[in-house]
Amino acid sequence: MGRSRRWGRHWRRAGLTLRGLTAAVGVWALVAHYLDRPLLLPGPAEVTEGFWALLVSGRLVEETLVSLRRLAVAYTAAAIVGVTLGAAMGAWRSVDRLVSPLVNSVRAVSGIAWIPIAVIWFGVSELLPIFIIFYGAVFPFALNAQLGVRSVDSRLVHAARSLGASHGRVALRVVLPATVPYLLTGARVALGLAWMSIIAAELLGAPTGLGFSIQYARMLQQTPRMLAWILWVGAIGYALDAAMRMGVRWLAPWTGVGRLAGAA
Amino acid sequence: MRPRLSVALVLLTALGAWQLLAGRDVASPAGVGAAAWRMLGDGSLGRALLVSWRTVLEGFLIAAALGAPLGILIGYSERIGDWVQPVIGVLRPIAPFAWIPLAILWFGASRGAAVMITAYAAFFPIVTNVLGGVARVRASMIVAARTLGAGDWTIFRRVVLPGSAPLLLVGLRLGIGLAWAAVIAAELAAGKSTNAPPGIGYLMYLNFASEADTNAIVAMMAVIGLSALAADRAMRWLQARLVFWPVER
Repeated sequence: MGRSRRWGRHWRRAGLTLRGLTAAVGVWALVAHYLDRPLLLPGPAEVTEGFWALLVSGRLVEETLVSLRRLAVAYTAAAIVGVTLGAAMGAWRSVDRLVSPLVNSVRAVSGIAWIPIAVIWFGVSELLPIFIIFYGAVFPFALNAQLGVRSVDSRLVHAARSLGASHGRVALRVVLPATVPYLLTGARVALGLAWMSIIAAELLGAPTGLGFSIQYARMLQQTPRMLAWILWVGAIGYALDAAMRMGVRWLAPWTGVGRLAGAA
Repeated sequence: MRPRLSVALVLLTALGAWQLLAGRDVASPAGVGAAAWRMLGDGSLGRALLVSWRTVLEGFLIAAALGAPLGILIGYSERIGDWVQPVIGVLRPIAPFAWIPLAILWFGASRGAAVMITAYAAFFPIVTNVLGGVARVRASMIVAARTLGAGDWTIFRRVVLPGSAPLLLVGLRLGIGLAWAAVIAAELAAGKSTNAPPGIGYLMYLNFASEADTNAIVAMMAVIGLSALAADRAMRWLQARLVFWPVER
């Protein structure tokens, strides 16, 4: 019974969403029609047509895969480096004293501001977007890992130690479970920032990928395709966050990170 | 006092190591300092900084003026929320930088395009946080106020507004941070085709496009970082002033 009521709520939500979006598309169509400047603002029909053309030609899938591959490489690297660094900062005061001032002063400079110097260092290459994504994602990982490790109740650590657990065992069975909610929050924030960074990096310094494709469509004055790309970027961003939320709910349902519909 | 000393020591050591390790082609602290001094002297840095600050503030104010009332409205009235929330849900995951080409198409490579991107970037954290803030105001408090004879306006001013203020300020703080990232992206993208007064992102573009002067670029990165930090500090100051009561989490 509880199940059917929940489904009823889902259907109501879906209906409201559909209604809101239909209205928005209707307004867009009207504005585009009366403005009558298809180069500046094409209507929904033209954009759908552009989207269809991109899909049929295979460009859509191709460029998306390029961007997602960069994202995967940089995000994984950021997770490994960030969590290691953050955990060390959380566990040892001396590491924290040494690394925190550096991290905090570098972090103030947004990833975007690194793009020009990254172009000089790496040229317009595969490394440039990967570096910018890495930079955007590494700090949320590190800061949340640090917070998480620091939040561990030291009495639990002492108790486990005095019962004869080794350092490694304490790390695995006491520190890690307590840190998981923080790590997942970090992972989610990092994914959002990584997605933003990749679009900026590709827009400014890559010859392929989604960000580049938007810019390229503008240069060819194919506004419908440009809008199709922009909306597609939103769809992928949404799908990534939804996948993250589902993964969290499945992996660690007790944390509530998956339910939180996106602050920060 | 002691922690500050150790922070200063670490930073100075790092700068020293950087100076020693920097070769001729890489920026060095001394070179960066000299470049900053030169750009300060001829006034180009100051002028660019003013242009970028103005863009950030204009975009941020537009975002706050639209986002805060909209967030309150959506949070307050379920009827309006049901119409507007799906649209926000669709637009929010689109990275603000993805709109840069469209903004340039609409406004030309002018300051208008940069203001639009900045406003868009700052808008969503403000709306979502205000919305969350209004949702956190307990229904029982509103009912209690009404029972005591408060009208709609009094309830809004005395219950809803203070109740959502903590998260509103969180949203404003996140918003101005994103605004500083967005303005640089927009100015870099406008690049050589711009006819606007050059902001700091454009100055950066010039330095890397024409002469690849890494010292000047790093100096500007530092200035951008300091500006974003100053904006963040200002928002934190405002936060402490406006939300002076302890907030339950």
